Amino acid sequence: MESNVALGFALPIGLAITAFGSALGLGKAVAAAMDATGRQPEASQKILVNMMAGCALIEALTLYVLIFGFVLMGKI
Amino acid sequence: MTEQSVTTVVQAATQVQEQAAEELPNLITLLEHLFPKSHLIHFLFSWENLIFSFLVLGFISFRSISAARKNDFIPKGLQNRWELVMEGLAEFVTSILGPRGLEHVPFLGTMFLYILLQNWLGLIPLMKSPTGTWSTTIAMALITTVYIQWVGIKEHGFVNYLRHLAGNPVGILGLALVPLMFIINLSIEFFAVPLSLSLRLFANVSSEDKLLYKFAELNVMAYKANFLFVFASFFFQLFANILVILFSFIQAFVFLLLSTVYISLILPHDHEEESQNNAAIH
Repeated sequence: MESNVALGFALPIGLAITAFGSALGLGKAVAAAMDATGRQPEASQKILVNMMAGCALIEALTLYVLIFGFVLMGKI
Repeated sequence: MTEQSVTTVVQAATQVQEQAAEELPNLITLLEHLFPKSHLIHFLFSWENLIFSFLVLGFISFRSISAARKNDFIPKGLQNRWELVMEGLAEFVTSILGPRGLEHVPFLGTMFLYILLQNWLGLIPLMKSPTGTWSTTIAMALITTVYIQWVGIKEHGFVNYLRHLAGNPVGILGLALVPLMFIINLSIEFFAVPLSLSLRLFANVSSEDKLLYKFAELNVMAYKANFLFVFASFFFQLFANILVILFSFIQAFVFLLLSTVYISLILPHDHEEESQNNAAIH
């Protein structure tokens, strides 16, 4: 298999796998935050801020893969 | 120079051009396209991110100075709006750092407004968001890192700051682990923090720009194919614009939140001192 064909298959599949893992993580984080808000509605502001920080950290992993994808896309 | 090396250089140059064309055209790229031989415009083109970020800087400075000049007790108009923004920022930062965090509000709030306006600048036609390139975001992340470490040195004193970097060693085992902890802490605080701050912002904003570009391209393609398709693709474009407005705000907010959290991590912990005092009393 030539290198550009391999990259053409690997880039979208790699991004999809990362997005899958990231979605699982985000789903867990948001579900826990919703549970906490339901249990203590008066603390919803603080929970939202903490959830956003965690979500940004999880989401960043997908974006790193996106950057590598764009960098490697120049080689196809 | 052989012919083959010339063709490889030309290919590399055209690839760079194609990568640059992944965003919507702005004022300077249009001028570059119209007058490809002008030296002045080529100079502007190579500094385009700086020019647009200085535009944002000038806007913030001008509006805030003209708002601060009228120092009314009962504010109205521009002063009112700025006070609303500043009070919101101060309330947010002090909710994390405590009442002593008020001294960090000027730096963090300026960073937030600067990043937010830079992100939103890409939505204005013939403008570009400078945060869509890594050089802008790594500069801001490095400044934030230096500020965080400076706060650490100022609050702890230099010797205690070094002890904090060495992981507060206790006993022989702690002293034996000092080199390891030193390397880990240094690499986290001077390498991982600026890298994660800058790459997150850069990746988000540049992919937003690419999204806008792709939907604009879709509009043009739909217009060429059939006039009726434009209605569908126009709504896609509208959706992308709303998404970009929302995510630009969230990314600026996340930058503010994370730098505030890093500062709160390096500040001395009050409750530990209290418990030590209690232990001394008993």
